[in-house]
Amino acid sequence: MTLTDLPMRTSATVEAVEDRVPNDAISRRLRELGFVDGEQVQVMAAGPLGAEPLLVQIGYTRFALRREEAARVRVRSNGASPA
Amino acid sequence: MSASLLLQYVAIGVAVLASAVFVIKRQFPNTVLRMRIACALSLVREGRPAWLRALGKRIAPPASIAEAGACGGCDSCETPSRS
Amino acid sequence: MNAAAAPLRLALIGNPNSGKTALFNLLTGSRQKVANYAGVTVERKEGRLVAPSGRQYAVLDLPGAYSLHPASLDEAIARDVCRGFYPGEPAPDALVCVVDATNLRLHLRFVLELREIGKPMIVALNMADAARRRGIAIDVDALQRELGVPVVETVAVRSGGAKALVEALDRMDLAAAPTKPLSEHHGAGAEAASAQDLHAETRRLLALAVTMPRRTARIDDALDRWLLHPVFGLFALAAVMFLIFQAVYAWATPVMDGIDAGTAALGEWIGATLPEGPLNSLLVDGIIAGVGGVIVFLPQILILFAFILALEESGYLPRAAFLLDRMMAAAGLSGRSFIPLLSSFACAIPGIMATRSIQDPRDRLATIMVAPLMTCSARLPVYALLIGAFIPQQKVGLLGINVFNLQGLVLFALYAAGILSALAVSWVMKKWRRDKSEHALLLELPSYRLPHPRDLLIGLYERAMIFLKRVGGIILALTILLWFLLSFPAAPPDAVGPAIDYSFAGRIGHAMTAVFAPVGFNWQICIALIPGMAAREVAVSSLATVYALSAADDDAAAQALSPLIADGWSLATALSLLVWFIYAPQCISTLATIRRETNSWKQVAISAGYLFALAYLASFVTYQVAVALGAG
Repeated sequence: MTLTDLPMRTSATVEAVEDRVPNDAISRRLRELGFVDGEQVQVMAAGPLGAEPLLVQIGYTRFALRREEAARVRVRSNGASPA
Repeated sequence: MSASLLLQYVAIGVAVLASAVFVIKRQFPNTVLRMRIACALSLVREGRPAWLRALGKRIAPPASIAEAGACGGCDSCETPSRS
Repeated sequence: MNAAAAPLRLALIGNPNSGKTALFNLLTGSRQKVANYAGVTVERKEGRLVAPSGRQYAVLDLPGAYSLHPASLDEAIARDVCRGFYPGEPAPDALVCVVDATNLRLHLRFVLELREIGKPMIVALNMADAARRRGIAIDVDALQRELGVPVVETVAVRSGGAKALVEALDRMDLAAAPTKPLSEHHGAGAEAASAQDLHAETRRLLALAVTMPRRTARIDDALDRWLLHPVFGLFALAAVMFLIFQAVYAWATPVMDGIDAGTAALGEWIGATLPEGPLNSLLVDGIIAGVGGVIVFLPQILILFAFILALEESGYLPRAAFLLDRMMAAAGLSGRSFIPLLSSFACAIPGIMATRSIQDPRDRLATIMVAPLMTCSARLPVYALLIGAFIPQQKVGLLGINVFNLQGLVLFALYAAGILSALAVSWVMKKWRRDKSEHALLLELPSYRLPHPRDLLIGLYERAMIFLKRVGGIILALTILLWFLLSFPAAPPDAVGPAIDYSFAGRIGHAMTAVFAPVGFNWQICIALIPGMAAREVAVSSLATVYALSAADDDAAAQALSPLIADGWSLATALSLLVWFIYAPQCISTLATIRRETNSWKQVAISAGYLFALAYLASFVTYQVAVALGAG
């Protein structure tokens, strides 16, 4: 599943960031910011209109991501209990 | 015209001239730069007396861009002074 | 001592929000704006550091960057300067990599990337005090050993907090490149290490040297739960902005009255002491009236900025960007437009320059086009003058509970009008260009911080200095010039109207009324708009000078501007002028900046054209409607 499918405040583990287009700059930036295999990620909040942007916590940093950006991040559940 | 009145007119003239120069330098820095270069060039030509050439060198704007500041230095953007 | 030695060149580099700028201020003592919001400045900031050892350093504060793979112009510049590739910029002798000690997981990766460059480097673990408070334990020796570069702790917001850094700099041997770069480890030769390698190495180092007690500060979590709540968050945002404008009026008034009284007293004293004549007129009707008319608004400006600075320092602003992102995206602006547009509330010029951090060229252009609509600080004296003269000082409210200051409400409305207009214009532009591309956001929300009083005071001091320099500079100069044009030529002997009508500027003003009568501007307003093109506040000082010179006798001349226009103008004219100033690009410098940033005269023409057209149209509608409703 992708980050956008994750229920709120549920921990999951990042698997990979997929490219939407060849040489996807956004995906590369996501990887550089820490969205790599094995990292813990959570969706903490969503914006007021249209549930966007998403407040995503990766490791110890919080980012605001558009749904299109978050949808590039593939995650697997790690059976962790909600925060 | 009385001496006092003459003095007043002189003072006013100086103030007005200084203000005009200030405003032109600030609002049209590029034009001023080009004028200075043109004046300086005509003054330092071969065959001019030495004092005119010295004057020309004084009028010419500073050589390096770095001295004038990264943006070209017109001081109109209100950022706190570079140290 | 070794004063002859050339100063060593240091480059400060690190992620945004690492406190790099605060550290720069601490090291160089220079006054720069401190903000914990990514991408505020692109300007080149250099300072000088003289260490206790006597060594001199030239310190360069580079734009914040997440990586050496640039995603914006800011980051490209940072990368190029570090490597020594930036034209005109000598390569730094050493790098100081500033990281947020409370978030090494994110920041350490960049340290590893920088190490690959091979320059002498020191790592500064900034915010070491916050890390300790949160229970994060960092084994500095282990980190130093594994990284192969000196690692020191710094606390940029505390005096003396950079002592360890300066000592390490003095000890540093500039000939030695850092040992153990990753490429050696993997035998990759000249090839840079991959992202996966960097992260693997980061995790290894973290496991070795850092113990984290909890994921993120509990306070951040608790605050974000409410402040990012869809309903409560927006409500809180509106409430905060609303309260700011109320405070601006409630707190400023006593100080402003004091300044007014002082100016009037000075004017009277000089008027009585100096002999009658043109110099007396220049000083009293020109300089004191004009400049005094603008300085009186300094308290309001400072109060407004105190709040803006506190919000920036606290880390709240990215949350505001979060809440407003959808609305901005619907209007065709990227979330990254938020910072440049926010800077434009002080002055559109650094705001427009800050758009360099926006990658998408069309987003950038849209932001540049609407930045002048953000209510810049120069509009404040104009608004304040008109509100002070025409809006009654009463309290209004709902259901009989009258707590809201009406003047504060009107000021809030003017700011809101600017913002809404910007959104509308941007939306129209979006329709025009049929833009289907993706607008990236990827915004970091840093930890909340308590604004440090020292940084706030420094920021306010800078703001006050900027304002006073403007007053003593362009405003004074234009006031003198305008006085001159209003006083000469003298009226002919058979003159029938007031002398001022025959002056150079008087004639121009009267001629302009042909164009501006439909919007309700009298000739005094018309002539004030011309020097007002150099700086909006000059419109206020110009009006003050015009009315001082028009005064029939000494008593009238001593009156302040506000009551004069309150008596002389209709409410419709005042409202029309307010609306004009929301839109009109009364700032040549802004247009010049647009020209510089877009490299195109066409864009300047379009900007100026659409803004003036909007201004005239809006003023026209306002005036005609107001007159029809009986305010004429």
